[in-house]
Formats: sequence, structure tokens, C-alpha cells
Amino acid sequence: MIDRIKMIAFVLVLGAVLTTALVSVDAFTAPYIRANQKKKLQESILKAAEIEFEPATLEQAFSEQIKAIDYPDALQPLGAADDNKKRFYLTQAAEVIFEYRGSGLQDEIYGVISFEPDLETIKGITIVSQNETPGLGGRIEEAEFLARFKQKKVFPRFRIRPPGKASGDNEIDGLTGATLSCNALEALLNKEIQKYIPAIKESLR
Amino acid sequence: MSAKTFLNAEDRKILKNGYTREHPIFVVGLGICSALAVSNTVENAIAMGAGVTFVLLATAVIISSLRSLIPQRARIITYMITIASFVIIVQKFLDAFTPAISKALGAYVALIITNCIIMGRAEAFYVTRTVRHSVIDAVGNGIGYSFTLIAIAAVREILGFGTLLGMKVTPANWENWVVMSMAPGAFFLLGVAIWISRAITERSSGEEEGD
Repeated sequence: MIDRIKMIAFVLVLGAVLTTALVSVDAFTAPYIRANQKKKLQESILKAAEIEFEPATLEQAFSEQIKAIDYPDALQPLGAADDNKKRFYLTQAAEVIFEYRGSGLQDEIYGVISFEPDLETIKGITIVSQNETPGLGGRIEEAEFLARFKQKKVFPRFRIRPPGKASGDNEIDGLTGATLSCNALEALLNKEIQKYIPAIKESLR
Repeated sequence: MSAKTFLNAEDRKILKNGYTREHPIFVVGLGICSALAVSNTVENAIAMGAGVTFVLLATAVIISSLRSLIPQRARIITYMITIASFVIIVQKFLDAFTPAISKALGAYVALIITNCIIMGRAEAFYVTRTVRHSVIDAVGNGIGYSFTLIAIAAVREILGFGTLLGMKVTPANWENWVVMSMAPGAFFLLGVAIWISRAITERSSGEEEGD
């Protein structure tokens, strides 16, 4: 009996000590991790808008070239504080950039897409994070594939067709071996476009 | 000579065992998964080696200093939560200060938890030995693991990407060996490395027998 109590006490105490250590490490590193994520987002936005920048002056290039605008209230999470609101981004040439996210085949796909001022033509797209199967679905983040999106229309619907089948100006060729990831990407992009483009039009009016 | 003033004969033997007779990868055959996966570039190998060595050291200190308190039946749990906590700490620091390396290593940092070298050393050594000996053993094993990773990564990076630590080292008309940057290249190299190390240890094992 005594042994058991000792054992449980030992595990509890060790658990408590290690948990305290983890909480303090988390508190210490969280601001740095947030800053890294913000930097990564700014980098992706500039890349999607095809604006050249030096890594050293990223912050400056971003604040000079990009304006952030809040989405209408209907799209804001409940009770979002002012610095926590969901935003889309506008370049000086009135191109629109916004973040998209949704489920891929394996895990969430998250990235940034930019549109010409007509809000119908894709200017550029980047993927910030994805966890598709490396070598198969994972190839959706290759620059050569993402370049295919340029100047494509997204209405009535954007489509990723089997390789070699794309014909219309709203269609691109998919990747062999990445069919399911391409389908998932197509579905989530259309969903996000239907959701955000009308809201953006409303905000810009 | 300075090493002799700090380490006595037994200490030195423990240290040396880590990267020779009890080499975690070549002799004991532990930690091979991560050695194959993250040895594609030298930068990744250094980060992974440092991460594993740090977790080994921290585990050695905690387990060996608590060895008289750890209940026999809760041993494995104790190792697990200790190792897991320090791996999370490593992951947080990589995320915060070297996001590029953190992205390149991907899931493998979290998988240090399942790296059998740490668990194996904890059960085989730290739970019965003094803090001093455990720390020396952790350093020895850390050296063995890191140097193997870095050596394999150096060959793979030069042949597979034509670079070393990101700098171009091959002639301009160099054709990259794609196989070296993928997992099979690591299998070939690690196999050859284990072959060579076994051949060497077998030749010299005659004189070391019986100690």
C-alpha cells in the first residue's frame, strides 16, 4: 500500500514539475513563434502578389505596398478584438489578396491567393503549409504547379482537371499521382472563393 | 592531456564507448529511422544531432539523479514523460529561433520522443548509474549519433545537391545524384558505413575481449 502511494505521489510530483517547465517554456517562446508566423504570412502575401522584396526589409516592403482591410462583421469570429480581426489585403494596384484554408486529403492546406482588380482572375497563389503525402500530393506546393494558376478565371467555378485535359480559361492541369489532393484543393479553393469574394466586394464598395 | 585532469580512466572509457564499442547506430542499431530521414543536408543533421544530444543529457541528469526515488513499476512512464517534456522544449525553441530548420525537420523533432537511443540508454545505464557517469555516457552517445548523422549528411548533400552547408562545392557541370537526396540513398550509405565500422571493430576486437 505504502509503495503504491509513493509511486502515485512520485508520478504526480514529476508530472507537475515537468508541466510547469513546459508552461514556462511555452510562455517564453510564444511571442517569437507568433512573430515568425506573421513574417511568414507577410512573405507569402508579397509572393502571391508578385512583389519583389529583400528578406531584410520585409516589414518595410509590406507596410509600404500592402494595405490590410477588415472583412465585414458577418465574417468576423464572435467578439474578435480589434487587433485580432480577420483581414484581407490590397496592393497599390488594387489587387486583392486573401488567406484560404481548408482540408486537403491528409491535413489542412493553408495558403494565400491574390486576384487581379477584377476579382475574377487569379494573379498568384502560394501554399504556406500542407501535409499531403510527400512526393505525391505534396507536389501541389511545387512552383511549377502553382504557376499554372496564373491568369485563370474562378467563375463560375475554378477547376483542376486530369493532366492534359484542361481547356477552358477556368481550368488547369492537375498532377499525376496527386489527383485526390488536387480535388481537395479545388474544392477548398472554390469554397473559400465563394465565401470571401462577395464579402470583399462588399467591403470595397 | 587536459581531458585526463577532469576525467578518470573509467569516465574516459564510458565516453569512448558511446562512439565506439556501444555506438548507438552502428553497433546497437538504435535511432536508425531518424538517421535515415534527416541526414539529407548537413544543416538538418547538425540540428537533429544537437536536439538528440540535448534531450539525452537532460534525461541523463533527471533519471540518474532520481534513480533511488523512481518506483520500479513506474520506470518506463518516468522515462516517457521526462523525454517527451524535453522534446517539446526543443521543438518550441526550434520554432521560435530557427523556423527554417524546424520546417525542414518536420515531424522528426517530435519523433525524438520515440528515438530508442534515449529510452535505451535510460533503461540500460542512467537508472542504475551516478549522475556523473550518466552525463558522460550521454555526451559519448550524443557524439556518436551526431557525427554519424553529419558524416552521412555531408556525403548525401554533396552528391545529391552539389552543396555543403548550402554552399556550392561541385563543378558547374555537376549532375546531382537524385537518389542520394532521397531515402534509398541513405540506406545505401548507412549500410556501407555499418559494414566498414563492423570490419574495423572486428579486427580490433581481439585485444579488447574480456574487459
